[in-house]
Amino acid sequence: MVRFKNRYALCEVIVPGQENGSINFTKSKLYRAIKQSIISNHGDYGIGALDQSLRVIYINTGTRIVLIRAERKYFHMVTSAIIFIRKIGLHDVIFKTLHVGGSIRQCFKFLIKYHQKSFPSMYQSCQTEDDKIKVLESIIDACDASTSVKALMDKIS
Amino acid sequence: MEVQEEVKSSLLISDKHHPFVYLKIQLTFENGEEDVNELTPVQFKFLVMQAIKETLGEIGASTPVDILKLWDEGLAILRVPSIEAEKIWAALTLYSTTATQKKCAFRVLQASAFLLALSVNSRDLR
Repeated sequence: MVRFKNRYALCEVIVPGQENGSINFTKSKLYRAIKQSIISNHGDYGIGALDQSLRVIYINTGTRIVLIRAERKYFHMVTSAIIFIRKIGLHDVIFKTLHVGGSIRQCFKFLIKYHQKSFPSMYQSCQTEDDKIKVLESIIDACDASTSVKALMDKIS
Repeated sequence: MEVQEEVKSSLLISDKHHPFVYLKIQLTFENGEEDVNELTPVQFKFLVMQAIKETLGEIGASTPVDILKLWDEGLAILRVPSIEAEKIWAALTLYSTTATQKKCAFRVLQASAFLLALSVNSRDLR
């Protein structure tokens, strides 16, 4: 038996003008935007190669993180197509690919590390004492890394 | 009569990687809907680019495709980078309708890494 090999792209959706805001669009809206971008940038050949395997696995509207899956052989078409997406519905967006991994698990491992790195800047940007305490509590929670990957994996399944 | 030793002969044209592939193509319209002789090189190139854009998209259309020569009856010689040659060949073959809904077809008559090879066609020999 041969395994069907996939690749996963972990992307951050940046909304120009509001750096810390949340995004509000659904998985299907994002999927349609990616599909449309592949059609215009890679034509019928591109969509023919990717239509089967393309899927939006995970979307986090709070942290503006999305996870996209596609076949490994043609994954370069997905990564090149997503950078050309400028609008999803009525929202202006910019995609920033953070990580490309071979499994969902690896992507989430990276995501946790990525968020952990952003704690110091979060702490500095806090306005009130309550916020500072909240961030500190999060840092303590994050130290228990063994459970957090599991928790994220459970969340999407 | 002496038996000669086995003569080894080989013809090596080239074993290098060639940067370009030259395609001799012909554009035909169904039922003579449009006169191909009246097409300007710019219009011809536009149709070629339309064909590539349809199947390979904007990124595929960014490959440098040159029309070296355009004769009567829609015959032309195209120069394409050899890496993208098959894809562009396929894109030309798949093209069937122009932007003005006229049915047309690109026929790839000859393809070669050497431009000189297109000067003669063994299928035309008698």
